[in-house]
Amino acid sequence: MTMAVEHRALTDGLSYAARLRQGLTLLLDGSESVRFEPGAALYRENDAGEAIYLLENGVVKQIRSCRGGECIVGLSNRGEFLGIRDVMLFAQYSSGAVAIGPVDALRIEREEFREFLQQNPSLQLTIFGMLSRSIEDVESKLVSISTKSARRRVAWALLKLRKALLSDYTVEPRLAVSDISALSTCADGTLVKLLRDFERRSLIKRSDVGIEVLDESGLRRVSGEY
Amino acid sequence: MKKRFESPQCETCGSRENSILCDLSHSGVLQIDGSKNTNSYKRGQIIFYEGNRPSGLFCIFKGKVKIYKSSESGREHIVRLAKNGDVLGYRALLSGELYSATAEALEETVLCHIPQATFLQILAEDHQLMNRLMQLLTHDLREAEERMVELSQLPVRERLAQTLLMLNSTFGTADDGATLDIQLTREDLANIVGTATESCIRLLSEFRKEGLVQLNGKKIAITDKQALIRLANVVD
Repeated sequence: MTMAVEHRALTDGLSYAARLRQGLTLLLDGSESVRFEPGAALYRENDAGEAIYLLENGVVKQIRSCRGGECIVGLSNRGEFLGIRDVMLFAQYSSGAVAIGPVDALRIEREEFREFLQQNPSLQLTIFGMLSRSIEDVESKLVSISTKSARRRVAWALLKLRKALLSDYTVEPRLAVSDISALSTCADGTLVKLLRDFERRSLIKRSDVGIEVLDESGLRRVSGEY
Repeated sequence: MKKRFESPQCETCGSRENSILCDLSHSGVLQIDGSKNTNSYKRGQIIFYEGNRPSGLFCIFKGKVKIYKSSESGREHIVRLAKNGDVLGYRALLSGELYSATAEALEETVLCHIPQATFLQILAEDHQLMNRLMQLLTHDLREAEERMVELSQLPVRERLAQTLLMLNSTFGTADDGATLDIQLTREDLANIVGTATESCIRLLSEFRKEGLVQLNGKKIAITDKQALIRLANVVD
């Protein structure tokens, strides 16, 4: 297939991750599945980029450290890939990947992956599209951080994390305050105040095991989605 | 209508040295030369809009461009600045999607537009070009993530210091070795830092009083780079 034809095919329905899974089928069939318990790191920020991962089950947060704190730069679900960009560049992982709940992931070694890409150059465009979409997500978040109020960002973070976890659990997920803090990029004091206010308005319920979303529509209104 | 400038030839283009097109084959250069269009944009003129469909790749021959996204309230957030040799719109072009941001000339800017078909044809024959684009993409992604972390974790004062240092390293200085070779409005500067224009003006005034910068209209000169580096908490 020529690059031009492949390019047109890229605009068809499937997501980039789905296209890449299709393209990598042969490689994935022979890959090892690894189990990660909640809180375990698939890899840490600045580790050598030795492998990519395809999530079979569970949710993973991508975190970057800053001044002793952390910032969540992305959330990934079943069917999504992790670590591709760093492996493509022979670089260290620019962010860490940590399991939020139990996670099963297929691990593909860097050399195997790169060799496969060399034999299948058209897959590079799929990866390109996938990474391009990641930049758009990050840039949209940049705009959100610089222009939206902390209240709206915290509501958005509660909905975003809940949605990611709901796709994997059958029960209503309990959200960790530390994850909401890292995802909303909101100062600790402000976050506590806002969560207290959300609870008073019956939008959420806090307990020792985490935060439960009680009123999704109400949170959507606060986040500005409606 | 007669153009006010000579269209640059790719083979002798000085800006190409700093571009992803630097190692293009001779036939690739000829292909681009034969199909590109060159246009001049005035300061403030829009090159492409967020949400529009790309028709090719833009290459900056001369000038400076800001790339920004607009919030729901209409406020700009500048996600990237581009200069001679930089390309614009490569992500949308290769992923087959719409522009995710708007590009606007910051000063008199001359751009070459390479049609989509020509660029994709060259790309199909030149695997090194694809590698360079991939590196550019991953670099842009890394920078965007770093900016997000800075924006969320660093005080505005440090972010402004970092932005001034970034402008210094990206665009360099005038002959005096201190004045930044890019003139931004205070609003543009605030839209890069991610703060209100008033805060940006107040902090610049503080920097001036502390002897870190000199201000002359839109011109900003860095007078104490080491102190600015310490303030920005970055490694020189």
